Amino acid sequence: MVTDPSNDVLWSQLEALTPVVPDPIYSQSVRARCHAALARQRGRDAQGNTRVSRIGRLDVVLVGGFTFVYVVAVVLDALASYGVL
Amino acid sequence: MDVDQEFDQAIVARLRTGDSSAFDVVYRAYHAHLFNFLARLSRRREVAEDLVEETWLRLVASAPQLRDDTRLGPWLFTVARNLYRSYCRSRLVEASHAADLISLWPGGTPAFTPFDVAAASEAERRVEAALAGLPVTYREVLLLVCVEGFTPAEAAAACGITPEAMRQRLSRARNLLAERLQRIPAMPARLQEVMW
Repeated sequence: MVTDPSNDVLWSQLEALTPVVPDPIYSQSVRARCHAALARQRGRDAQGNTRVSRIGRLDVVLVGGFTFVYVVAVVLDALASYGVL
Repeated sequence: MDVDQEFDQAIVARLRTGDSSAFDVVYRAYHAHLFNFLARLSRRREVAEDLVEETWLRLVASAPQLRDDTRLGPWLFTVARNLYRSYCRSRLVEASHAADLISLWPGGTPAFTPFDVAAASEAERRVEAALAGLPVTYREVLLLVCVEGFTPAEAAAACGITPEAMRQRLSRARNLLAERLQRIPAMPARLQEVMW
């Protein structure tokens, strides 16, 4: 098993290794590319949401319209069958 | 739940909406650590740069699907580690063999470069050389636990093994490192005098 890290010289030597530092210019360019990718993603999401909300509105109008026509037809049919119309 | 986890949850929620400032917080917290990990794993700066960039792009691509309980540190290191594994497979090169090949090269131990001397103390240089000579499987667990400060359980998750297997692997890695350290020659005293 692993020895107690707090008493292990080898563990301490590993912890004390000088970090390998990334090039700041390269890091900045990576960050910029990620920001661009995030912006593209946000754009796609916004377009998707707009399309979905438009389709959602169309659904409501169509279902409402057909329901109205159906109810009117049933009422007219009922009135006709009782000889009112 | 600890504060880190709450912090991660808040950042994950913002990342899912594509919040650039949330990305910057994660980037500042982990970029240098990821680079250090990948540089020591691959021992090639340009490979580490490519892989660290790919790791960040994977985070951006996966951001909308991140779960509420995602721990960003372990998630990023898991991706980085898997990318390095894929890189090794694609190149059919096990980077750790390079150290063995160098030792087989005529002329024996390579000469100390000024970089070796400037970059590290004698003890650090020897630890670096011993670490570089370890197989990747052992090197990655030592880097995750000892250098990056992961708990053995977190490192186990990143490596896709059980915590018990991680404890055994860490133990073997430590013993192998100690063994290799003994085999690495100390820098000749005369050279040290010249350098210091």
